[in-house]
Amino acid sequence: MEKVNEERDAVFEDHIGDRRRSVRSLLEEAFADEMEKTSYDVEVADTPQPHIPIRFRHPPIAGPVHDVFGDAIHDIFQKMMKRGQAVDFCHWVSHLIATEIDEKFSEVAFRDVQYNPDIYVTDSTTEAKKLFNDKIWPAIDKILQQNAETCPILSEKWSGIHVSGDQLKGQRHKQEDRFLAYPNGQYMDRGEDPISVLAVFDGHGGHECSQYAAGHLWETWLEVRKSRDPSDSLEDQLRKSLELLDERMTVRSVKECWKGGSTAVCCAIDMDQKLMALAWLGDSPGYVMSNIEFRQLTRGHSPSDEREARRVEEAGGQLFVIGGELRVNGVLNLTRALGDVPGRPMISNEPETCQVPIESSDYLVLLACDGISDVFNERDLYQLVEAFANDYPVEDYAELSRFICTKAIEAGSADNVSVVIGFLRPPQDVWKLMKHESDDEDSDVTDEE
Amino acid sequence: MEVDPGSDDVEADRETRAQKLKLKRNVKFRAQMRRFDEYCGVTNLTVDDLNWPLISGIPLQRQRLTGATYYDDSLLDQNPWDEFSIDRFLEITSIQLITAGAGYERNDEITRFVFQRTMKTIVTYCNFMYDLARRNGKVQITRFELQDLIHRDEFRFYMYFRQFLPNPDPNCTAFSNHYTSLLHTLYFNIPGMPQFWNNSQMYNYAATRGQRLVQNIAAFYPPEYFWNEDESKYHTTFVVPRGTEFSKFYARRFHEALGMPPLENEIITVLDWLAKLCILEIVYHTTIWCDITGFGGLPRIEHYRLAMENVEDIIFDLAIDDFSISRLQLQISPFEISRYSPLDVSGYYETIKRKKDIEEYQNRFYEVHYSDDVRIMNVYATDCSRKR
Repeated sequence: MEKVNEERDAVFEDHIGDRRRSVRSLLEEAFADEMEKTSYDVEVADTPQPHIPIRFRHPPIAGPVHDVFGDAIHDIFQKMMKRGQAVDFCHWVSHLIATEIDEKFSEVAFRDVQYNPDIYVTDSTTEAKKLFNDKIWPAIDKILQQNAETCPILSEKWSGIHVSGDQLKGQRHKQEDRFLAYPNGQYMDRGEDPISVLAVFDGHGGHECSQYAAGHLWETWLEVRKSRDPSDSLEDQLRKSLELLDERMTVRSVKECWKGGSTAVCCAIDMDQKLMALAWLGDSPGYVMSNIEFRQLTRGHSPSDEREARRVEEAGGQLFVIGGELRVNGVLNLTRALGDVPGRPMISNEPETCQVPIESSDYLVLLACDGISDVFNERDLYQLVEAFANDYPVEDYAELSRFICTKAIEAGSADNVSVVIGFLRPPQDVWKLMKHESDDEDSDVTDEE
Repeated sequence: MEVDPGSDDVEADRETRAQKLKLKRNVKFRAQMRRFDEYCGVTNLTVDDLNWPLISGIPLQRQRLTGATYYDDSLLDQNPWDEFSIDRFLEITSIQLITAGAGYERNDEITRFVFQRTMKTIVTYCNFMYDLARRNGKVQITRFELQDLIHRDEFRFYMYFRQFLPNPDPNCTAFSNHYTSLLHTLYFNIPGMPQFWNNSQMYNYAATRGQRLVQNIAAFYPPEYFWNEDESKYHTTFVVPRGTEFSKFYARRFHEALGMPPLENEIITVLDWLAKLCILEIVYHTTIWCDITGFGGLPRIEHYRLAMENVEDIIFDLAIDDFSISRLQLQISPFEISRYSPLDVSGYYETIKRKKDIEEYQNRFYEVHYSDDVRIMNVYATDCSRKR
């Protein structure tokens, strides 16, 4: 017990926020309910739930074997996010849990099944999905029963850039946005790739495409990274991984008759080379915050853009106003997207990319969905970051994205909102920048320094 | 080598024809989308509600929507094509509500509420059937998907055959309507259907509902209603606007209001029938809800809202997410950060330790008492051991 307490209370002094804490304390916080139930010898009866009628829906179509592991990781990630954990921890632990289940509970090693365009096998994938869903706590239970000597995971230290990510449901009846924020390869597959990958996917016509993109981008990214040519820039790698992702998604979309699609805004950050690449489809914006302002790096792919409008018409599409908005074939207010297979080639699946150096004056990169850009301009975003830094200590940096989402909903955003932030400099620097000069003397940052 | 000088011209003609056809299809699609958008204000439907891919930019309805109308549609109600208003459907809904026993006079709020619920429900059915059709490798909703939907409720399935298959006699195969002939074939492919057709028990289900609604009419409608009762009102539906004859014009408008689902020939008439059932069911459900909660008189709009609050699909119990949004009012909780406070999880570790100890003891117990160790077996088995 003493050993356990020691492990729990271990602190990484050189980190801030949740990154200071040990894996054991984070796991205990996330799975407190399950631990409490286990601590009773007799199974405790759940509190009676109000009767919720279960109405009929079509059972989902079984997915292919090569997608099971990625799908499972994303499902676990979503569940962990609902428990209120930080996004980087959720990525890390979701991979850990999925691997543990795949190793200990599954008969097939799903993580080793590679995508092959000529093979589409769906045998036993429905059962596998259920297995990954049911064995989350048993997998964690096994880990918690060990100590750091037998299970080195428990003493793992976080690395990579600081990130923050969250989403809120607006007036829509479904949350179709998805996001990811990998500080580096440690959170993808426990690898050593130093590149950070952030992304926001705003789904339309269903959550399938955005969910697929969020669940499998890490796989395509790592595949591209492994097979990259020395001459490939970061921008090329990001584009290739999105193209591969779209290829995989198209196969699945056709087989499972997905109707919708998803916008995408992705960012790869190489802190060693001081480079940042963005790739995007659709109208989800990507910003960089410098010491004086936010500036948008992306260009919206919407029918109101003249170049995009011409391209759509050349591809045989019609643009006309429906619901007070210019839309491609009267349906979609985007001209590029992942998925949307029936709308091709009018709805292009080709991402637009850019690569920019990270200047010393760049503090953070912010990716969002249009629910944010509809209500906030660049100046508003800067003021929100400033307000947050002045009201909350730097230890709460991971809550910045939730703060912006809440403010967007309060400002009347009807859409769902998602925000992902990657800190290009330590959060302390951002706080130092944003603190009013008069407060500098008694600020937390100054105290720490 | 001799080249046919006319081949280029033929190719060019073909291309021109294809372009003209494409242009025609684009114009048609555009007009249909505009009308759908125009109706959206009343139907409350959006493109997001539809599962079929309108993004392709071509009309998905490949077959003829319905058969011929037996009179000139353009004369109907003196409504020229371009001047059709969705209010006409509201008017038809109000007629259906009056004949169902919802009230003697038109109530705009109730009419609009019931119409929107009905349209959303029918679109949900179309989504259900379209998803099924795609899984079955089809590009449009056919009678098989329709059967799968209606089969979910035995009484409706019974009604479906009674309504659309007037003569199930196997010897009578001469059906003028193509859809009816297909239904006829289907009917005889399902075992036990002739017994099903003559099941008198089915009438009881309808009779109890009918009686309750007639009580409303008898109690609350003025005597003039019975004197002026017009039989055609009972047959008025979205595609039979005058209650006397089917209208292809109205069927097309109804199809557009639903978002142009790709349908097999004549299925729009079944959807129209389902819409009528839906309206009846909403009235019946609200009436029963009023009986239970003790509201006297004819149901008012607030009664409809309350009664339908927990109901999604009123006929087949499918899930309709949109209706639950009214229940889940958007609540913006103020931004707060919950701080980590160390938890007392010692109970968990103690339980784990106790379990491990018990497991170890159990293993040891088996080892001592039930081991196959040869030495122990020898103690009991060999004579020399016993002597010792």
